[in-house]
Amino acid sequence: MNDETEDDLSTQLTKLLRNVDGVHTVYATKPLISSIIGAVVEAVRNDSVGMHLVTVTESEAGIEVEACIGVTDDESASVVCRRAHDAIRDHLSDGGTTGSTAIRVKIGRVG
Amino acid sequence: MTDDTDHIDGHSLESLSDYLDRGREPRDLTIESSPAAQHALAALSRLRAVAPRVVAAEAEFFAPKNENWITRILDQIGVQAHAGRDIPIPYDVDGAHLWISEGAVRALIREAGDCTAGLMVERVRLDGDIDELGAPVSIEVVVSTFENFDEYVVATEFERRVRESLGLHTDLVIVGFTVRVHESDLSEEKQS
Repeated sequence: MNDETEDDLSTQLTKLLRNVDGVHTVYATKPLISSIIGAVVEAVRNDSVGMHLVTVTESEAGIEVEACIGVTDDESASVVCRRAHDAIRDHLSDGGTTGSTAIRVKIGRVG
Repeated sequence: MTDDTDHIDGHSLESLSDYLDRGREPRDLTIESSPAAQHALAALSRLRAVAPRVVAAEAEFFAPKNENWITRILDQIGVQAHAGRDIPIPYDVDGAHLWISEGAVRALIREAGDCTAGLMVERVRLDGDIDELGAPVSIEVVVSTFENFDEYVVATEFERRVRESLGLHTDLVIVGFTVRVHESDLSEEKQS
């Protein structure tokens, strides 16, 4: 898992993605382990954020964000994916992130 | 996320079926946070909705009815739900890496089949270097057809729906589309 600062950003990005038009779910980018589940019994969908679904990795070279999302099927999944990417990029930019940025967004489910 | 065929992100098809039986309660985050498990749950839900109608139709037209078709579909739900390969989504922005999972595309195809009257999808295969943008891709789908529907008409409508869905949601370059039909009342696989 990430350290405190990274966890904060991960939580911010999870909340951000849930509010992107066309995104209905933010999935975990890493399998969740049972011990975490026992401690955090709350829904993933549209509920309060209790875990870090978006992976954030910071290094001297820059920052890397990895997210996996579910999108609605009433508009192009590709369009929604780009929109999600842009939301993350803008959030990082607004937060003063410097250095190189890699943003990886995968559509895990449509509909 | 593993591609183990017996488990879907740590869950068996049976445990996912039980989860459905319980009305998805209590919420299990290992299931709810897994796209593969969500694909399997969606497929199981649709199968449950359709199966009684199909079985009733079989009972009317065929004696004795054979349930191998439902076993074939169940066998494939687990296999096909996995994320599989990453299919790139073009975006000419520095640092942007966008994909749609192969599992999501297979689910789109399966759902297009479930929306086509008289047909259920058993197995989907994407042939080609789908992890390379613009690479030609061939799609092969094995389906079951039901209720005395005309297979040609059903397959044609199914292909139309698939092409429409994949055209909207993906950038795949589809160069081939093959539908193989199993008859639901036969115990042995029969391809046409």
